[in-house]
Amino acid sequence: MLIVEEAKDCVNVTEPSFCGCFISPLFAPTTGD
Amino acid sequence: MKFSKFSIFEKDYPDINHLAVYNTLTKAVAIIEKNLYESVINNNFENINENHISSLLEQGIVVENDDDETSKLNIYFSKIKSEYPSYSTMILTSYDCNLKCKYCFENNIKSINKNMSAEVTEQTINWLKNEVNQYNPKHFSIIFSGGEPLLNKESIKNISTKMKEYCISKSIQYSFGILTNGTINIDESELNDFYTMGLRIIQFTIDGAREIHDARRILQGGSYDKIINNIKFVDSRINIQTIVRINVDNENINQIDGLLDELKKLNIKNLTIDVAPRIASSCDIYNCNSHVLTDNVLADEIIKINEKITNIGLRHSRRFTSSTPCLGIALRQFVIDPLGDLYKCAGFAGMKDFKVGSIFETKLNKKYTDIVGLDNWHNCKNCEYVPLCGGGCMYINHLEFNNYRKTKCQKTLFNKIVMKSLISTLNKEKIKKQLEASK
Repeated sequence: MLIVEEAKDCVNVTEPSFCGCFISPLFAPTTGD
Repeated sequence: MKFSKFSIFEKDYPDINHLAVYNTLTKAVAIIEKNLYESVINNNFENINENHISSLLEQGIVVENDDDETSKLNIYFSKIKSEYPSYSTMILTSYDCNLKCKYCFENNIKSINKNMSAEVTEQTINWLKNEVNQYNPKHFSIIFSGGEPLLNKESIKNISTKMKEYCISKSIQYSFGILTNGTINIDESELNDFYTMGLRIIQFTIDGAREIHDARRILQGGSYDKIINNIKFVDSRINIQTIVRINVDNENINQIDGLLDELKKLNIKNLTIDVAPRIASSCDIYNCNSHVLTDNVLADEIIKINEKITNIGLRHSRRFTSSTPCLGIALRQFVIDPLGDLYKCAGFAGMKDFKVGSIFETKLNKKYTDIVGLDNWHNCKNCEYVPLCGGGCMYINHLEFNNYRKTKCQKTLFNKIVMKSLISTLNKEKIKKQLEASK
């Protein structure tokens, strides 16, 4: 088993990502490099 | 023990012995063995590693049988509504735009043709400082949009300089982003100034390869080459996040590849491509809404384009997957328009029926109470996607039913796209190696 991404606090964000329609959601970090 | 009702699965990932699981409430992602999955489903935990179960419990992927997940959902939305470790706001510095896109959702308000005045800019700063004092966030951010926000650089500079200074004096981090059509040149000195003021994200919109883009996003002499040159220029001078947004509908859906190939050649440092639905307009004077894709087709098309993006070594956004519900739900997130009017959604900007207040007044109006009190997510508490969609988009409801309160459910879209969009941003080979190493 592998935890790839940990649980996050929904309001603990440091970047604007509040609108799914008009603003592009920011790229979330992946297991990539 | 059981799986959380917000856990969703992708079978046979990264191989036939495993599944990927994503919890839409906690946003945790895990890869689990098939037998572990079956054990939880069958409630039979013999021969199962206890550490694995406790990890999944910790991540919210698995819950105790008597866990009240509705309470967790209530807390989640309550935090989104009223806690502000990060305070975000959207400011429209101009209703004017130099492009004449027929499909623009703001075609009804472009005729206002107005930049934010110096007086409104000053009052916006005062209003924002008051918000900072009242809500004391750890991080304060602004998204500048329009119209075309760079037609009024003065307001961006003024607001950012003063808000950054004010935030620093209160030990608050400050940053801003710009959503631009990409055709307005920014010279090197301006760009450096913007960076110093806190610019960290620029979103450019390109609707496909040159020919189709220029036919849709209309500027005399074409806009495609200007935008590509501006992306290159920004990338060569400052280190920020660049987003290329592609609005897709049935007019351009088969003409995206040329753009992706060009973006690959540009080798932009920190590029994310966001394939987004072209949003219908409430003032469809050119009959463009007929090109909007159904949720079913949209999901398939975005998945296809995202696969191509990943295959050529570029990154795409996790649209619909990593979203948190929009600013319409939160008590203190607003769109400030060039007149200083406040709205709860960029789609409603300029539509006076949806104005919720003004930066020149202290009291918010009845529409504000109606919108923030709406909380349509209450009607969807058992849906696995409600932590992402928040019970639906008010603007889409308005377009569909002429009633922002009546939910147009987009579960078909979420069902198809959420896991696929997540999976294609993961590094499959690295995950395989990690699984192998953990044996």
